Amino acid sequence: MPSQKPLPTDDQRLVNKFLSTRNEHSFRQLYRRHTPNLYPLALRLAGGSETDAHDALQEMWIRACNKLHRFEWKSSLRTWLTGILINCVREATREFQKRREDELPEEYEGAGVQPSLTGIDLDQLISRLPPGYRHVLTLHDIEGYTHEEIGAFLNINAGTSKNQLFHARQVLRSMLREESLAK
Amino acid sequence: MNYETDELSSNERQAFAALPTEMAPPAFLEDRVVNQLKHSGVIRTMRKNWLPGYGQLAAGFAIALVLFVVGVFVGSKWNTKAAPPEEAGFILIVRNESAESGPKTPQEELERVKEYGSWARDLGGKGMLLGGEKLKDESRVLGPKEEAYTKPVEGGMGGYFLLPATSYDQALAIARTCPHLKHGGSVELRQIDRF
Repeated sequence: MPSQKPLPTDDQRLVNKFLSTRNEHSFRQLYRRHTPNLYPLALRLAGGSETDAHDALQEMWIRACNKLHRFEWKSSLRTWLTGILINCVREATREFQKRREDELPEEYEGAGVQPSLTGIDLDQLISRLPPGYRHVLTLHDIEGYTHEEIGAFLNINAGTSKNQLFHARQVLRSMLREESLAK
Repeated sequence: MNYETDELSSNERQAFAALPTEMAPPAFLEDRVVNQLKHSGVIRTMRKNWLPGYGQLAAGFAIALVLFVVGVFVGSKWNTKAAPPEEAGFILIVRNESAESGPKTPQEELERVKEYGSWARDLGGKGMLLGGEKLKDESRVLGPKEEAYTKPVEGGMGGYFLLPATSYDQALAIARTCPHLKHGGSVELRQIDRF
């Protein structure tokens, strides 16, 4: 029985088309396929700053297009783009340079009664987390990446990712508790 | 509880699952990215498809010359006020998107220049043309929250004429005489809206 090469995915077809033509139409197809999923991620990673999210997405596409010919399809295209996006956000987000990632906000009080999530703007609370916590929590609890994948994205080990996630959740719960009491 | 045993409650899982993971980015961002990629040479600009070959370049040159002639001709009436003259009722926009509208030979180009110039002089002499300019093939685009960025003009508005017409019928009557039309180009009329 002759061996059959697997059919190329939609992403592979689009990437091959772009690399062979380098034209605007094929790029727009790639852009429109992936940017709607990457846009809310960029916004969350950038702490809700639209300007930083736009800058990061633009830089992500520029870097991706320049490196596409070297992409080896060892991960999905979406995961590869996400890795580039994270780096771009971290560079574009000025607060990342200024705030210590492991610094806990003063209001952090540890675990307590489960706070209510009713009527709470969860995204707004997540945007107030320190950048390191926000990135790990967004990638794990919203985007569904594993600690190993997050470690590769952020250049940290999986244990550090777990630790950051634990603290991120604790801080978020503390914020939720305050919000619930204020309502 | 430590980081090895921490789990999300079912309420927390539901709350995270309810957050949007897909959202339409603003429309301007796509064009901004495309323009940046073109500017850096990552996307090839398909000059053959939109940029004039010899014929269209010649047409552009001819239009520029015509507009210059018009400018000189009506210069005495034109001034540098920010607003168009009050008698201007319509703007006639010369559109450059046609690939077939340019002259094919130098002789044809000269004839085109004479033809456009004659048209402009004739209109000006009848008081039906107040001014006009050619526009450069580059623009700066500014969104509500963005820095201005450069956008190459691919087709679209290549120049304009100000007409003293007071109705679309009058303006269309003038526009129908524009030689750009019979050479395959198009023109657009917009009424000036004065408050």
